Amino acid sequence: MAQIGTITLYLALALGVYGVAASLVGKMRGSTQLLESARYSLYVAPAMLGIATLALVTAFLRHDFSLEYVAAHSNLAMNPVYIWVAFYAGNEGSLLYVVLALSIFVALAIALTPSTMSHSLPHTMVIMSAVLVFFLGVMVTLANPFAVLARTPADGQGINPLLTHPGMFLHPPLLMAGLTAITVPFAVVMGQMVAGRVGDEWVDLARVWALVAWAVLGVGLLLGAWWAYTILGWGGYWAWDPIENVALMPFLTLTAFVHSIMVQKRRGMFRMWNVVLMNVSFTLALFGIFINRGGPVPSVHSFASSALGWVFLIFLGASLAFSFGVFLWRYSALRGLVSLESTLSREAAFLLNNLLLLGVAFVTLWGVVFPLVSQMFRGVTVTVAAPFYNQLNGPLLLALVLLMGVGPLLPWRHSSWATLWRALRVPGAGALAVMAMLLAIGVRHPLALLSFGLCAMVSVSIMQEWGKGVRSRHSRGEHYLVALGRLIAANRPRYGGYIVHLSIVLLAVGVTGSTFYGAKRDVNLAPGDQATIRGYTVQYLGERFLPKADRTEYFNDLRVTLPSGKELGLTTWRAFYPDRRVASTRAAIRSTPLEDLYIVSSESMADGRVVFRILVNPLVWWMWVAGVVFILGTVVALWPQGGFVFALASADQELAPAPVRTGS
Amino acid sequence: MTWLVGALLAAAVLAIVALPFLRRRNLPKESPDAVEALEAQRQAIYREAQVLYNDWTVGQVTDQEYQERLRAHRIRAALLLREEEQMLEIEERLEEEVLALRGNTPLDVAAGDDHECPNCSQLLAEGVSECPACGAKVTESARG
Repeated sequence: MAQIGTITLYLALALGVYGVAASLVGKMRGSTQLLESARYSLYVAPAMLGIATLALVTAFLRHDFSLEYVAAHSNLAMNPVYIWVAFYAGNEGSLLYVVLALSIFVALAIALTPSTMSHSLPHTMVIMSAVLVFFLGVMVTLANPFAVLARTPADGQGINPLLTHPGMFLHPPLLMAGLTAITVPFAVVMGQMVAGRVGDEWVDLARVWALVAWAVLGVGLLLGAWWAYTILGWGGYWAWDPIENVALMPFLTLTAFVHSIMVQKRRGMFRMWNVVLMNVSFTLALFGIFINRGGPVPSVHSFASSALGWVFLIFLGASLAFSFGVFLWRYSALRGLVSLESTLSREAAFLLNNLLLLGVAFVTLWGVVFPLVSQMFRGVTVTVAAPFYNQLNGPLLLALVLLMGVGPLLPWRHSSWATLWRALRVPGAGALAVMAMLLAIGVRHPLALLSFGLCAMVSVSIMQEWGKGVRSRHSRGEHYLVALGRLIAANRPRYGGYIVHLSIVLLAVGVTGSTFYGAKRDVNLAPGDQATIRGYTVQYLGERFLPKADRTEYFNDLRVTLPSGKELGLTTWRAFYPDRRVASTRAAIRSTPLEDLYIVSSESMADGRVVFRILVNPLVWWMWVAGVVFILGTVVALWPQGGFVFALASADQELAPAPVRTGS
Repeated sequence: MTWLVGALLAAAVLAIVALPFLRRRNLPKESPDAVEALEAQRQAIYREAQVLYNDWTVGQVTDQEYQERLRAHRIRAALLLREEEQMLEIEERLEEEVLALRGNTPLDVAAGDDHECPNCSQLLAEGVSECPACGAKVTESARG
């Protein structure tokens, strides 16, 4: 199997190289056959990488410890369910996953490119296949997952215990896929620029692919938060860890892009800005891969780190030089004729939204690179901790929430303070009502009050927009539900966007509640002892343990009395892996929409006492609901627009011509 | 055995990549059909206009903006439609000329059964004295 795997990797590399060369030569010579052949080569590459993936998975299934990668990331005791996780648990396997995902995105991008964009497709293909060739080249020459050991061990080292969690089935692959998917919108934009198409033809295609990458990254980040919450045992979901940060940064710049691209589509503005945003997003994605692979900063995610950082750093530099070189080449042609008419307009709100998002991205980037800079120039190792990010990014994120409420209410081109006041009256009143209600029930923290108030304002403004649309359609004879469905279908990007905004509101509610109103106790309990926190009484009943081939599992049984007086049983889980000298935990969580009771055991003492950390985390439940709403909103926004269209035959027709079905 | 499978895979890859060179006659065009591309652009304008209409009905855009943008959409669509028609006309004429050269002429241009307007190049039926497209008078010489 190892040989088949290696052969298919080399074949995929050859196909990638051919894809670059045939696209280039085909375009230069105008040869349709060469271009078609290049396309075919990039369609076949995923099949070869799929075979390589199957070969590696089969090696795991057969416990083929002659392969260095299989021996390093599995053992005989490993539950076969985790083979998929073991596949990308290390550097070599995760690179194979990355090239597989990238090759699928490339093939889909080529197949789904509309005929109107075919003039620049060869350029886009060159860029996409060049990126694919880079990753394939690195893997084949420096990190081959099919490398064979000189001597086959009887058993492997086993999978990293922290990875044996349901969240690991999706969190790492989604993040890796999201980072690599940015290649497609980047190649679309750069392909257009190189082809000299500096107009707005590429807007829809780049937007769709940027949304795909953005959604995949977003879901991956949320799943990562869930994984951290349930397995890392510190009771939080976001630690501003460098690897989390490097996935967050391109997500933020892509968020800016999917907003500002709407301005280009609608008003023909921000062309240069959008090209820059895409370049920055791709650069940050490569930076993320560099930090992940190079491991120059300590992280809880150092599973796939390697000594390959320098290779990715060189590629990052080359990509930066290429993308901004192309930008400067087309600089004068990209300058738009339309300028901002008023600072009180939808366009200006989008611009401010972009600046805030880039501000958060910059603060995060500085926090990631500062330890490296400090080490390099001062020889001092510095760690940038959560307070730095919270103090700088907190206000910026609150301003973004405010803008989410105000921006969609502003008209395009220009507005007046009177119009804005009229639009904001109801959402503002909603915010004040919620803040007054919260004050009445004892919420006193000013930042928490402000945050909840802004969340209420955004929610009311969205509901107001939906209500206005539904009422308008209902007045023309549509049932309310039908009107709602047709309202969404009529402008999916907008209403999908509103749903995503609602998911951000839910996320903000969860973050605010758990940040400002969480409670924590560290206790040391003997069997029969109890501790109380926020009305919960936790009684430790005793410990059970279960020896396994590679670990010993500890179960700590607890009886919890809820504030309502009701009793329930919870069990925390912990395992110790002697060979790896690491422990893994699973918190016992009782989750409700109001708050989570979170208990994790960290250590068993010789006298039978156990150290527990008990937390009450308010409103965290809404963060996971936000993930579902986020996916729903993205699907709505990405769903193709179609169906009924207008008859535009005469410019003198009445204002609202009747819809006609075109069959498109 | 492994090397045989590898060789078969390599041969299959080579065959697929070489396919466009082996089926020269039915090769798709490098660029899409120009008329198709124009039609796709026109359909995109219709969709944008539909979105605009929906936004206008729910008060998202003002009457003035709606009228301005609708007019712009109509003009763009009309220009594209005209371009499509001209291209279709050119294609038809090219096809007829090819057929004529092959000696299989449905309109038999060479025989003088059909001719074109000296003003707008519209194809004219036999015996007409005025172009139905632009209204120009058609003289005997132009007719034939």
